[in-house]
Amino acid sequence: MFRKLKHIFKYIKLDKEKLRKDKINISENINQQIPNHIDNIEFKLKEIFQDSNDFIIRKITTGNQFKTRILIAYIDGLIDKQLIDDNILKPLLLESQKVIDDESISKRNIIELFEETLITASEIKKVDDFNRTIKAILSGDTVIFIDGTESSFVVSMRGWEARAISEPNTESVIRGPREGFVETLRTNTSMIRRKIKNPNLKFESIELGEQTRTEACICYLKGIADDNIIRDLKKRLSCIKSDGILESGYIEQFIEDAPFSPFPTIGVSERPDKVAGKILEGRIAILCDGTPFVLTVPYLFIESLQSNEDYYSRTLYSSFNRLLRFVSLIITTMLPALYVAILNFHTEVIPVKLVFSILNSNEGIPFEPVWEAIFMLIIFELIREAGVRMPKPIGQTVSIVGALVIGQAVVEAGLVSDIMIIIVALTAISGFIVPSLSEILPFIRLALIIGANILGYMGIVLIVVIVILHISSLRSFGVPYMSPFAPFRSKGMKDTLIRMPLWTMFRKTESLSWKYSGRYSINKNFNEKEE
Amino acid sequence: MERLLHRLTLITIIFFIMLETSGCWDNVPITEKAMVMGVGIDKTEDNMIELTLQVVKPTSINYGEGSQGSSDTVWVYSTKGKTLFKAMRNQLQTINRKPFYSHVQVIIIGDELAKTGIQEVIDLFERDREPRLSPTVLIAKETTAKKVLSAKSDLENVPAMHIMEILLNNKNNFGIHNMSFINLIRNLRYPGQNPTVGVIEIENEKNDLNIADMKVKGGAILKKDKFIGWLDEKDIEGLNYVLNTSHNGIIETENPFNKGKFVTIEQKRSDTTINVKFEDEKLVFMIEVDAEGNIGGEEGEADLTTKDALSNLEGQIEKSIKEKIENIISLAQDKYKSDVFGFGEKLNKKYPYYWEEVKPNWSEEFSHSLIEVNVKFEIRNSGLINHPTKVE
Repeated sequence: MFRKLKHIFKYIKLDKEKLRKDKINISENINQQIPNHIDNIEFKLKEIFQDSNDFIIRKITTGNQFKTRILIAYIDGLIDKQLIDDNILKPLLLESQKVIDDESISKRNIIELFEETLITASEIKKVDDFNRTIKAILSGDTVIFIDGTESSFVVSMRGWEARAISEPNTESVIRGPREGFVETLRTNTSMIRRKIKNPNLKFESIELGEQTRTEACICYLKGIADDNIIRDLKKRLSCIKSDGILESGYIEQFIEDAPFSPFPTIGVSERPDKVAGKILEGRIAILCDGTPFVLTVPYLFIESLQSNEDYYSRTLYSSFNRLLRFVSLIITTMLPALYVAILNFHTEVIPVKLVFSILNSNEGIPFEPVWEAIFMLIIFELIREAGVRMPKPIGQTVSIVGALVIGQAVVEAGLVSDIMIIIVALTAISGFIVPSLSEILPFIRLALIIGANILGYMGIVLIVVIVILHISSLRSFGVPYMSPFAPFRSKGMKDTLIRMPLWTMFRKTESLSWKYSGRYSINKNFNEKEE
Repeated sequence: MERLLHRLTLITIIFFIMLETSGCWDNVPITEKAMVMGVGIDKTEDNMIELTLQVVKPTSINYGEGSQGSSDTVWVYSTKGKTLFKAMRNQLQTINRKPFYSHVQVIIIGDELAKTGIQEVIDLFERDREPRLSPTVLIAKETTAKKVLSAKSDLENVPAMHIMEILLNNKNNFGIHNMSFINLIRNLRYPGQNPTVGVIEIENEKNDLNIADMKVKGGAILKKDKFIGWLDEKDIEGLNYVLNTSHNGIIETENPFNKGKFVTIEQKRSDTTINVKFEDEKLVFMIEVDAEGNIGGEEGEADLTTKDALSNLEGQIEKSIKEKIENIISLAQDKYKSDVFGFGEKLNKKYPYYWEEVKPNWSEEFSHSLIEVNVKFEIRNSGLINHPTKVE
């Protein structure tokens, strides 16, 4: 059904693309020469950057006898002024008088002279295309135009206020590195590079978003990552047509396999060690400028139960933690539904002595258990969302009010039975143990509760079967989502419900060792449409 | 798009068909159920079945705030019907909630009904899907089940649970006979075994009955499904040895050093094996009891831990156990002619062809067969002391 819906949406998307291609005449990709005369350049730049007060042009004249007019353009705030002063202005204004005094110098040689003897910046590129210079300016580079030449220098003098590397809030660990990704792409790539010192670690750049021109970068270990998956990923990335990419979530939604499934098929992490670990397992990371969240593909279901800390702590403890997460996944999805089913259909399974307290707590509650459960779960989601959105000091107040409402008032008012409070609290706590699945939990809980209310245990089984069928049919970039459970691979089981000792896993790629084949490619649909 | 719609309708139709046919359509919230804890069944004088239910009052049992005795926690009421099922439905004329039988603890059968046969009663509880097979069956001796169920308990919130838990004490008192519902069915189905059912009797007859006025002791011997006679406590002890349900209990025996005074032995374990064999073309059943215990107490000051004293004691105990067993055997063989030990089943397992021959006439055959009893009792220790304190 999801696939059907996806087809329909793809048609709509294709139609829109056609319209857009007709309308927008993409001028950036056509080479444009840099004007010969510096006044022309200035005029053109001012035209392009009209009304932008952060765009700055600095005009200087160098040379002693042979004078050359030079234009430096950059965007204020994206560059380090100190660096420009020291490495461009100072040499050009002071040193050039000593260097450029030979009258026999020809204009062609001026460029070489600049590059080789004058400018002291480490990263300098000669660019002949005017559009590329504009892109460079927008990305924070400084561009030097020289009068009378058709070339320019792009000097990297980037420097802007950035957040310092700190411990990520979303994935905290007890044991493990304390650093997290930041908003700057280059810093992020360096963090991965520091962990994997291997020339095979590749960073391939792409530019996404027609207006934002966000820099993104795919990162993989050549030889370990599957070439087919890399090709597939690049193809999907090239299909992205969007005005803006503000966060990696935008990319995720454009390239994911099952956009209408509650289950995510692309992984997200804020931790360099986690991403490096995934790259070592043969996965591909997608880094996006402006966000600390890095995507990894392919993403399997089992990854949502794994944590990088599992590999840092010892086998027994981490296996225990794995099992705990698995159990908590079952509790957090099934407990309210089981309670509803037991109260309405299967009273006989309650132990005799428990039946008294259940009877007692349910007496006088005006609602059926299913409404109690839904009501409490909605309250829980409200408090959770309020706690996230509120400023931190108020957030605490919200949770206190929430706890009071849940814990006391509702029970005392006789709206909800106290056992239901325990059930919902347990459900919520267990839900926090598997945070990467938190997006899907409300849907599955609700479906299970409704199923349980209609058919009892059978309803629960029915919903569980539907969910299992659904996730077994999912694929993430050609890899079955439930691998290594379905299709079953005994080798991959080493790192699933229990974590075997590290020395039994020579290479951790085994969970991905499902060979990619075109038959299973989701992109088959892409191909068909394009032909 | 058309195919999608087609499939969606198909899925919807299948879903609704499933809802209709699943057979689970009994969503009854727990607040609309009345939990039945005890069931009593009697036969009235006008040959009707009288059903008595002990139902928990939902709000009365509050564990957090201390219980206030059973006077308010349960509600006992009776209805009559020609059959048991009709009587069950007639309950709905009195009770607003649906009586729910899954947590029934005891089924008490009045002796009047037991005399006419309990098969019809058993059938309904076996056939219906609500009751479990776990409740204990008791026969009310010389009284009605209604009276027993109306009794209050000062100890437990639910009197039926009180009775049920007394029966679980058979682990520590081999004079209690615990016959669960499932074992009763099993025994009724075996042609080679007749059931014996535990008995509850009222010791102090008075108006406002309490369980403190009652005792669960002795048993009722049945032939097929009909009651034929009572067994007293001693008989039940012997029966438990033969049925291998004797676990723990107190044996009193005379002090070998001090006539007129007693030594109490706590039996800790007992295993019984029954073998069948032919001797001189006659059927012989061999009962071998292998038990052990501790010295639990001594009246007198003699040292009982010497070898002679121990073997003397063991001999006495073995003799007393043997007497108990032989007593119940003679009762079953001569007085009631009912095979309550399941010897027929043993025979069936070992000599199935011979069993087919004697099966139609088994109760007669049983009463003439030879039974050998061998008892071995071992005293393991004497508690924390060897020599009792000498009073000087």
